[in-house]
Amino acid sequence: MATREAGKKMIMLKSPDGMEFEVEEAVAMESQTIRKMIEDDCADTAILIPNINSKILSRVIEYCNKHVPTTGATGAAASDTVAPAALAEDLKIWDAEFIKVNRATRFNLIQAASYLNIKGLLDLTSQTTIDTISDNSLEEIRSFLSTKNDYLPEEEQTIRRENQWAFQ
Amino acid sequence: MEEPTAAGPDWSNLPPDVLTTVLGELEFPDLFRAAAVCAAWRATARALRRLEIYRRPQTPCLLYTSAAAGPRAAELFSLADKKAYRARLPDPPIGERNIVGSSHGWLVTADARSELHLLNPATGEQVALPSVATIEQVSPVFDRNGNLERYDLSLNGDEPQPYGLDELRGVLYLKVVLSGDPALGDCTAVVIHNPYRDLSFARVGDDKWHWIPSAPGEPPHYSDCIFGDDGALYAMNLLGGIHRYAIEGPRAARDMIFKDTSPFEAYNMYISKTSSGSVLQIWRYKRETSGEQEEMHTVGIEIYRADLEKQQTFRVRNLGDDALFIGRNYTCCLSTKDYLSLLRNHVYFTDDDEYWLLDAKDNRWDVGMLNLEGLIANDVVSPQPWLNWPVPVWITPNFNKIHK
Repeated sequence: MATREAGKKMIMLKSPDGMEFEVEEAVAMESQTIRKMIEDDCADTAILIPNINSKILSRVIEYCNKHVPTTGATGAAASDTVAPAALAEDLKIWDAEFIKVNRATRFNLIQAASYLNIKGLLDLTSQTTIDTISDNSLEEIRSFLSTKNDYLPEEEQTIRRENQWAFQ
Repeated sequence: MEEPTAAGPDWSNLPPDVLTTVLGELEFPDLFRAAAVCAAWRATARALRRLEIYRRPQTPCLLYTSAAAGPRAAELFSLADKKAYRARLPDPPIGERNIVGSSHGWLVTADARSELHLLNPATGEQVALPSVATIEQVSPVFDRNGNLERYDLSLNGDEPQPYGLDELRGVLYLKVVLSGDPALGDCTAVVIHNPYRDLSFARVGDDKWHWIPSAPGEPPHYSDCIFGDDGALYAMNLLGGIHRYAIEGPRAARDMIFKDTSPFEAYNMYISKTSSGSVLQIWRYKRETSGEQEEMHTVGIEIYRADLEKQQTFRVRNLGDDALFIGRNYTCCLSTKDYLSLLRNHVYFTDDDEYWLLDAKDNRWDVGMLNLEGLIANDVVSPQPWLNWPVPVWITPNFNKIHK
């Protein structure tokens, strides 16, 4: 666990499987959901994050740690800092590595990003899904996404034959 | 794609907000495919369109009719995934109309009575433009029983020329452009029309065309027009001159003239803006091949940047990252950085030659793309799948609806 740095306000995040993560408040506030809880004073001691297991939560924290804007002063409104181009490029490479996970983990990351409302992580995970759909055939998408084809055979026929423009 | 893991999560259970974002970012061929994945995805894809929040900019498609699709449908060949999609269209059958424009996802067509319609192939919506009879130089002629018999087209003082109801459209209309998407608000339609390549305009929903008068003895000879970011109309004539008009109510005031740049009239000429906003003057050169059947082939494109302030043109030999679309469509440049499937420094062209179109229903259409580097022309679709009427046209599909 991160050691407590002098002057930095820390927050405890708890996963439903009982793990506790101590993180800087600024890092936790990358999540709009947590930010709201903190700002509404609902987060005195520890925040329970439902539905997100410790494995995924630790990855989400890893992401937020990397993406929290760096400023010297504690508690300063850090979101105004503009990352220089080199730093942005660095982050892009880091993101690309970060998202190289199996599809179950990716799915869980999407759910976590959605629940915790972390825009950057949501964009990153969404983009990989967009790319998956753009680059693959229907069968490949279904198999990759482990999505059950819940159409009846005759429906399937219609859908494939049907003029797609007509589904408005 | 990484190794699949056994019994992964079911992606049809993606959080709805995420699924909405993901599907909303897809171009229509991908959206259609995603909609077929499962019922949940299909429901979201439908909702995106029903709620009219599907606004993803689309890579242009080539629209044409085919024997397989029949006269009441069009094929849209997507330059994004190089596949054709079929759209059923409302009557009158598209196969019996002339296509005289394509702006913001709307076709402009002329029917067998020479009346103009806006037609959106993505939504099947159709809107009538003001009647042809309200164009300044057109007079309807009725028979003894009061039925419309023909139109007379007046030629500035000369004897008017009579045309049959379905004959006039081929002679009258050169091109129609729109100021914006009529589904998103106020929209002005501008028609370049004969006798002298005049300009007339109307708001969508108006009941009358307003002619922009030209000085007697000075035929306007407009070749193409676009709308600027300032909302004004920029009309180019066949001598390369550009006239800016501010349209207000029923009047259009000419408030800027960029002088003619050529001593002789061009055969085909276009005006466009680059993706970075420069104004381009585009000359298109064709060669007629002789043989068993005459064919027109685009063999050259010459581009100049027009500096409207300095009244000067500068030769442009390279479009950089832009791709240019010319033909009956609203002339436009798209950045290949935004539209990854397009080829940079290429001109995508369709036929729009007025004389050639007039009586050339059985000729090969001049449709393809030209690499400005080396001026090498290639087919977009091969073999050419289209019927010979109406003329193929570029269109950027648009899913917004007028009638909520």
